[in-house]
This record gives sequence, structure tokens and C-alpha cells, in this order.
Amino acid sequence: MEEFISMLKGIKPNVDFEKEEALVDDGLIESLDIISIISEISDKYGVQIPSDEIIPENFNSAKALYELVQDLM
Amino acid sequence: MRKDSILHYIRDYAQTQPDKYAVCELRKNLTYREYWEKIRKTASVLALHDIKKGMHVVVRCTQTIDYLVLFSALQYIGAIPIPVEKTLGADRIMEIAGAVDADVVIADEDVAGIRAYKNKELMKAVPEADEAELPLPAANDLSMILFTTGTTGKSKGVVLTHLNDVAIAENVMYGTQMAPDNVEVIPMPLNHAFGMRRYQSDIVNGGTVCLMDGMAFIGTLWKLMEKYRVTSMALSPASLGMIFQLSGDRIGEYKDQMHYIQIGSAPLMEADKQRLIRLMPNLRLYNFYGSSEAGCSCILDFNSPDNKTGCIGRPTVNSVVRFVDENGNKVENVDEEHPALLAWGGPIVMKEYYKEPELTAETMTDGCVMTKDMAYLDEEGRCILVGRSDDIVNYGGSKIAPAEVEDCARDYDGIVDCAYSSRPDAITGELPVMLVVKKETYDQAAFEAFLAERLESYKMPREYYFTDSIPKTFKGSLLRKDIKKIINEQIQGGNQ
Repeated sequence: MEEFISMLKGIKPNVDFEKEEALVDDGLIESLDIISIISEISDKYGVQIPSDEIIPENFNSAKALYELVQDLM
Repeated sequence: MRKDSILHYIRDYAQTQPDKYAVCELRKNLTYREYWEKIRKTASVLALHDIKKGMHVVVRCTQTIDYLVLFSALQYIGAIPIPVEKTLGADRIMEIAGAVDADVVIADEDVAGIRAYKNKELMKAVPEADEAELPLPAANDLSMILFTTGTTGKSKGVVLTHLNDVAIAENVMYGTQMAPDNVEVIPMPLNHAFGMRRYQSDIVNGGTVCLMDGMAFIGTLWKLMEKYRVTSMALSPASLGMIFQLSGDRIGEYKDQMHYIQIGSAPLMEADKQRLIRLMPNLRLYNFYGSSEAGCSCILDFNSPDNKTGCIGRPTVNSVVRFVDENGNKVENVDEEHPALLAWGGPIVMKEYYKEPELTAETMTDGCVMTKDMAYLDEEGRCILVGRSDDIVNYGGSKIAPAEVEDCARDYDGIVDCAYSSRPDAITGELPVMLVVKKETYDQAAFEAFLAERLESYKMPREYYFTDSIPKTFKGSLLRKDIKKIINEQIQGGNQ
């Protein structure tokens, strides 16, 4: 999880990924961040997130996203 | 018969088709009856907060049903909404509020120095409120002020009437040959003309609007397609690019369900156009030409024989085409050999720029909005553009004036000079970049932080290039073609 959060911080340094639980709803990450996160997950974990799973709920917290990636691995 | 305002249509459809969906999100929706009821209840809540007819209200836009309810409720009580982007910080909101003499700001963050309310708190009071009973606005009453970069790049408030809204909505509705049961996905921001006018056209048509916030969450699109049986989309080239990037050819699975896609904000890249045509050969593919000042004045189905070089299609039902010279004088006998500047008239034309009488006079002549496009009408009545002069950077549909960013950047101590430009990008069409002449004290991170504090995020340069001097004319004007050339050479050389 730590490595995962550090990857997210590499994309958006000013966001507290450990605590935030409404990253999308509160506008802390934007469209282009989502694209970068999807691409980084693909590069780093070899996981292609299916397009049906690219929904705000899965990106609102680092935990939700991490669990999704774990499920897909 | 044309009604006086978008609100008239909502009220009437609430009676004639009360159970049809009007506005939808993935997990929420309102029928026309529910939508009208919620607008009237929200109007009561606004009145309780002493928001009154004639007040200017800056509203931070979100891509939600609640935003549309709030916007419509403001119009219902006769206030003038001024929608602003959801990413704007409190300082920029206050700048805009000052520019439009706002009485109130509605945003989900603390804004000091003006009477301000939070959307969420206002909306919490709505379920218990009474339904307001007020007269509907008249056609020539003001409907909103759209804050826009526009064709000259300078931020300004476009003052629109309810007549403008309905006339432009009809242009879209008839231009796309919208079916009565049309269900349209709108991922484009509702504070911009493109998103707002698509919503309004669907309401005039009595159809259904499905909202989503941009296209990055592509899973939402596929769920909307299934849940509401979507038949059309209003996309930017960037959002179409994202559909392809994130879901490959999946959109082709809906070729029998979909009637049309309309593309706005920027030209569609040829490769994406061809891919869409291959996947959905019978789909109507529309591109509207227009501006905040004179909306949806021309329409092109680019999956038709009209799609030829320079063609922007045929004038829409409520548009009047006029050709003028540089002084705004009417020009006759315009043809391929003798093009002239394009101007648009009719009920689609804005009232004015807010408190900018000189700019209004420069832009409008005899009730027509002048453009910078040289054009002519061919023998079949299609409008053909032959040239255009502007320097605006179009980043995924958001128009950015280079001068505004450059003025800001030049205040940073570590640079001698700079030029804001763009380079082609597969997703966004254009990517904003900056060419910089550094001082020895230049610090990249500090420069970016300096800009980030002062600019909206979409205006930030995405890449930086460096040079010894910025190409200029002897008068000091930037030579933008030469600037692009330097940037392209550096891209090809791998320098950034």
C-alpha cells in the first residue's frame, strides 16, 4: 500500500492520499490525473483497469483504488 | 410555436409528460414533474435567503442535477446567474464577481468579501420548502451572463436573454434533427456555452439529459448508455479521444442505438473522425460553428457529402448570415474569389458584453456579431471558411489567451521573457506549452508554483522549452508562427 501511495503522490504531490476519501467528489484529482493514474498502474503493476471499473467510486480513495488493483492482479 | 424561455418548456412538459426523465445522473434522476417541483422549491429557498429578482449571482458549476436545479431556480426568481468553472479558487471567483457586479456567490467553499452561500447547504433545505409560484420570465429578460474567453481571448461577460437561449436551442434541435425521445449524454461543462446549450436544446425538445463529469470516468458512460438507452452525445474532440484511449472500439457496440454525436469546442482530428465513421457508419456526426456571442450559427454533418475542406456546413434555422468588411460594412457579391468577413445575426445574437460598450460596438454591427473568419457561401448554400486569424490556444475545448498567461509569467523574477503557445496532442488537440528565456536565477519548480498560484489549472503550461530570445516583430509583437517553429524543432530534437 505504501508503494502504491507513493506512486499516486508522484502524480499529484500535494494530495494527502493516506487520508482523503473523496478525491474525485472534492475535486482533488482531475481528468488528466485519472488518465495518468491508469497509465501508471498499467506500467507498474501490469494491470489494465477494465473501462467499466473506471468510475468515480473506485478513484475516491487510495484504498478503493488499491483494492481494485489487487482484485485485478 | 417558440416559447419565451427554457423554463416555459420545463413547466409545460411537467404537465404534458410528467413521468418522462428530464435530467439524469448515473444514480439520480428527475422526471419533468419532479424537476419543475424541485426548481420551484429551490426558488423558495433562494427567496428565504433574500436572493431576489435582478440580482447577479455567481454560481460555481458542477456537473450535477442539483446545479441545473439551482441555475434554473435563479432564473425562475428573476436573478441573473453567472456560471463559473468548478475548479476556480476563491480569489478568481471574487475577480469575476467584481467584474459582473455580483450581489451573491454560490460555491462550495468559503468566499470572503461578498454574501456567499454553499450549494450543498442551500440544497439541504429544498425537500421541506414550499413550491414558489412566480411569473415566468419574458423572452427579452436577461437569462444569464456567460463568462468567456471568446474569440479575442480577453475574458468578458456575454449577456444573454431568454430569447437567445431558446433560439439557439432550436438551432441545435433542428440542426441535429433531434428525435422526440432523444436521450443525450453531456460530459461537457455546463458553465460553457457548448454544454449549457446542449442541455437547453434537449429540454426544448422534451428529451432527456444524462450528465457526466468529463470523460475520464469512462465506466460511467457505459453504465449511462445501458441504463437510459442513450441515443446521442455532445462531445469535445478530447472526450472522444478519451473514449478511444480508455475503451478502444467499444463505442461501436452502440451503432444501432445511437442517432448522432455532436462535436464542439475544437476541430476533430481526422484519424478520430475516420475511426468513428468506420465503427458507426450510419451515425450522424455534427459539428457546430458558433460562439458564446452568437450560438450554433452553422451546422455540418461531417459524415455526409457536405464534409469538404473549409466547409462549416449550413446556417441553422435561427441564424442570419451576413458578410462584412473590416469596418463592419455589408459586402455584396461574396463568392469563392471574393470572400469576406463572416457575421451572424438573428435572435441568437447576445445583447451585449457586460459593461464593455466599446468592445460591444467593435464586435457588433447593426445587430450582427462579427467574426475574424473569411468565408463565402457556395452555390448550395454551404458556408466555406477560407482563413482565420487568431492565436488562441484551444486545450481540449478550453480557450486560453496566450497574452493573459504571458503577462502573468513575466512577473516571475527568474525569467527574461516568455511566449505561451501549443503543440499538437492526440488527446486534447492542442497542449499548452511555454517557451522561456531564463535568467541565471531561474528555478523550474518555483516558476511552476508561481504560475499555479495565479492561473486556473487548465491554463498551466504542460511543457516548457527554452531559448535565447523570443521572436518578435520590430514593434515588439510576438511572431507566433516562429515561436511554434522553435518549439517543434526542440520537440523533434528531444529537448524539453
